[in-house]
Amino acid sequence: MKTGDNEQLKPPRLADWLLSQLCASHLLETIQGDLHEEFYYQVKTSGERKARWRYWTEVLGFMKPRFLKNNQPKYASNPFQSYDMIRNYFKIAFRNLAKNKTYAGINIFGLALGLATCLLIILYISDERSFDKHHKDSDRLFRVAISSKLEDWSAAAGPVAAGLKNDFPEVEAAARILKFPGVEKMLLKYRHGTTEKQFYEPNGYYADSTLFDILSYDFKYGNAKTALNRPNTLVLSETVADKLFGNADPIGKTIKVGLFFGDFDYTISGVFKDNHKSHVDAHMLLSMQNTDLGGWAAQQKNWATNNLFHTYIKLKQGSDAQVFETKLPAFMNRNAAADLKALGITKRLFLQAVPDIYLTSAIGNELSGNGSMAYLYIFGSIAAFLLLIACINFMNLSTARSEKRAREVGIRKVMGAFKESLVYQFLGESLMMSVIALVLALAFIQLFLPVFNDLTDKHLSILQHTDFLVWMAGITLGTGLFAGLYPAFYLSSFKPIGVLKGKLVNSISVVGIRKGLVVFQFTISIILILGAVVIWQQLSFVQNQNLGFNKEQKIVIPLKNNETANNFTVLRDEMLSNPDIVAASSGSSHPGVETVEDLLFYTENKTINEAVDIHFATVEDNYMETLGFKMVSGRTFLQNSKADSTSIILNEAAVQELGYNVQTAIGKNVYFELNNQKNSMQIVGVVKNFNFESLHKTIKPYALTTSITDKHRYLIASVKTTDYTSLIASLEKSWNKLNPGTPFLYSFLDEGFQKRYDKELRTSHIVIYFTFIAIVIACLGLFGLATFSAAQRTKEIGIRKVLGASVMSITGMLSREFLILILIAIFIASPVAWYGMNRWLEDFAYKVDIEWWVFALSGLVALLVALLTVSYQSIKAALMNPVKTLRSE
Amino acid sequence: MKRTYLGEFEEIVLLTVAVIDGQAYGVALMHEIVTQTGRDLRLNQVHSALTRLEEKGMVKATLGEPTAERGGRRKKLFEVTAYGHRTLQEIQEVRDSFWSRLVNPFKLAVNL
Repeated sequence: MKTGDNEQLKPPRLADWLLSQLCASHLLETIQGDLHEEFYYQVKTSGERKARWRYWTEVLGFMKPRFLKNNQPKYASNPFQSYDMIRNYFKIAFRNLAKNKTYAGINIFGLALGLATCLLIILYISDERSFDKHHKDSDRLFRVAISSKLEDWSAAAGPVAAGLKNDFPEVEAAARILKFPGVEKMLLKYRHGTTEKQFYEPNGYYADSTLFDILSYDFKYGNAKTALNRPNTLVLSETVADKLFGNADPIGKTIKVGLFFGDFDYTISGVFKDNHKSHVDAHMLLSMQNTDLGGWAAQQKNWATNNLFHTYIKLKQGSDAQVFETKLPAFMNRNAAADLKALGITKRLFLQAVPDIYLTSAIGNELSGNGSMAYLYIFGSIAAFLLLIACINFMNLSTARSEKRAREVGIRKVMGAFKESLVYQFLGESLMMSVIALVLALAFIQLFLPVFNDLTDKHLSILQHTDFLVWMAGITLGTGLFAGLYPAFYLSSFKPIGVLKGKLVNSISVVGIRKGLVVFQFTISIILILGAVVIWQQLSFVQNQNLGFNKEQKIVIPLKNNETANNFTVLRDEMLSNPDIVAASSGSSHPGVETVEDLLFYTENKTINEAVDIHFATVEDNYMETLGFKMVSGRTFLQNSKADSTSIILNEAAVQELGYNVQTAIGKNVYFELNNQKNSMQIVGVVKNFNFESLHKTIKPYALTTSITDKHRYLIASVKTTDYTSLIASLEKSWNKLNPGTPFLYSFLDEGFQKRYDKELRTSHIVIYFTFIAIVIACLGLFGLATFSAAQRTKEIGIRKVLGASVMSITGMLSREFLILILIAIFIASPVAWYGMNRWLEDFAYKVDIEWWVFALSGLVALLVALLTVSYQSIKAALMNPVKTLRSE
Repeated sequence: MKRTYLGEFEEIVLLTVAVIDGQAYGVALMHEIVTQTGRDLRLNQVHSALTRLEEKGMVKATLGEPTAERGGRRKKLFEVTAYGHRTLQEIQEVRDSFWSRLVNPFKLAVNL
């Protein structure tokens, strides 16, 4: 044997195994260590063979009862290694719970509520954070957005993507997504044998074939690399494919896609799974090379106009995005300067990291409604505060009732318990409480998950993210330790002599801390109440705000293809024969949906360099009357007037931007350029400013014409009925007779506006629910403290009653100490809530003022709830028969 | 006074623990005893003695640092308790008193 092998030399394996199997576990480490050390010593002194032999005899020597298993030491050096002690701890813990069912119930129920809301919020947050994290090389993926004087815009002009790829070696791939304005839904038709399936599907986008080199999709069928290579191909999401074809492989099948200008054949080239979340919420991706919009898309060579292409790039490994971004102004100067100059505007490109878009980007023309980091912070902090309130309940009730356990602590200390072991005991108890609370919380979560999903419009489930289990364990552990820490140290610090003598143990500082914690709990509750009231106020303000037109009792029917658009007049006439329908009109857009069409208008004696960007809608001549717009001056469009094809109606904002006066603007001309031709329009009327999108935004310049684009995209009917069901049924009947090839679709105008406030509505509901839970938990704690306080003072109350105190005075005395705390909380909460809610309101262009009565109301609510909670116990205590309370002793 | 029973081997182990104070663990103790007395020992004997001494409260154990040659296992280091010291002293006193009363002390036989 070479000496160099000594490191590899090991004692006989079998002997070692035998030892580890048979030797008592608490002795094994030192015995085996000694044996190994001796073995290597023997190898050195008498050689390996002898050492091995000796090792065997040594091991067999240890096969004595003294060293074998089942021979545990009688007394452990640490109580937590002793089965008997642990059993004792559990027994005492359970006895305490069973003995004080009210307090145990309050603690566990409160903790469970806090844990349940906290875990629900964590589910929500981890779902929101999972967007766009699945893409391969996601740190190198960026969206190219533009920034101009007016606003930031998420889409760029057509040639930007190809230009970036050509000009910069560090761009590995570039691709565009086109969400074509006015195509919110596509009508899909699939004929199989004699049956035809057809339905409207939203979220269909056109995409370059290189898109899948940048964004990762898991394909169920087909190949991402080649899916969109050929013209007129289409990739579907699994859900849409299921709706059309069931579970079968649809590759190569042809479907018809109905757009507002015709039906087009597309061949399915792939199906992607819906397993990942992305800000690109595509249900279908259509090849950018196609026979419907392909020609138009290919013509987009202008660098300044039609900023409709969401442009994504992937940078090469090792290239720095910030350095790349600094090269973009030069790039724009090289390529876009001429086009931008012609329009008289400036634009700057900037990059947005793809994984961050969903939570951080909320700029113009986003593909879908993005999430918001701010709301995640709000929800996260509310959840943390709820849990904190529940923890405080635990702390307060444990320390308040410490007298009950003081004797136990004294006895344990006398019997030889160390402070440490008492700390561990109490921490263990609070951990046990939080574990019990967790079980209850999981039941709550199961119960409330459907409601919560409904509130948040998500499909959350407990086992969705594996991280959740870690969070669950972590939060339960954290809650148990946090809630238990202060009581554990407080309880274990009792001096046995004082405690066993029956000295009062509640010192002033502890009472002070307890009161401070109650104030804290109610401060948070009152802030939440205030927040809920302000949010509710703002939303009802927004919903009842005069928008500048009448949004009630309006039905909107989208006309999504040629057939329905061509049948508009017939349909309208048939509808008007129904007495319930007052008027019907049509337009390229309607209030409540985003108007994307805009042109640059300029006035006489000016050039396009001084033009104003005005969004516009092309409408039927009776559009204004149907929607009830108010005119400031001039007139509305005339019925069937050929001359009005060059007339334009502007809103006050547009008139002002153009430099006109509302009165003198009538009869003036404005100009715009379309397809390199200068067109002229005469202002015939000025309409009062109206909110065509939402009250988040201030009113921008807006125009109405009868001729520029297609006016038959939406039919808008003003109705007067109480029986909507039969009205809709009759509308559907007329529709189906005229347009058998297209499903009937309708919405109400006010619904469209409602959707704009979806996020706020959801937030407000969540905040209101949370507020309610916070108050419940805080009141549970207060109830517990009041119960304790009343129980502690039974003798005092008895004597007071004997001496002639009235029930009222005793109730007042018991309630007063708590109500003072609530008043302090109101004073702390009001300014904090005022500041926070003003920050929230900054998001709205039109907002309510926070008035003084809101604070008064919230304070009153908190006070009343607290009073109700406390008075139950106070009155009960005051009504007690003094004979009973004073009899014993 | 109640007699403290300490076997001969236990006494040697206890003395050795006292002698190599601070580094007294199984193997070290065995080697020390082997060199001092020349007996043939096995580890299990040393361990048994140490356990008995621990049960009698004459030594107390702490766990030391792990070393590489022990495969990362910790040593169980022993030290003599106050009770152990007193016991050793008592034993020594008893012997001394007998030796001092010896009328005819043994002489080393030099010329046999």
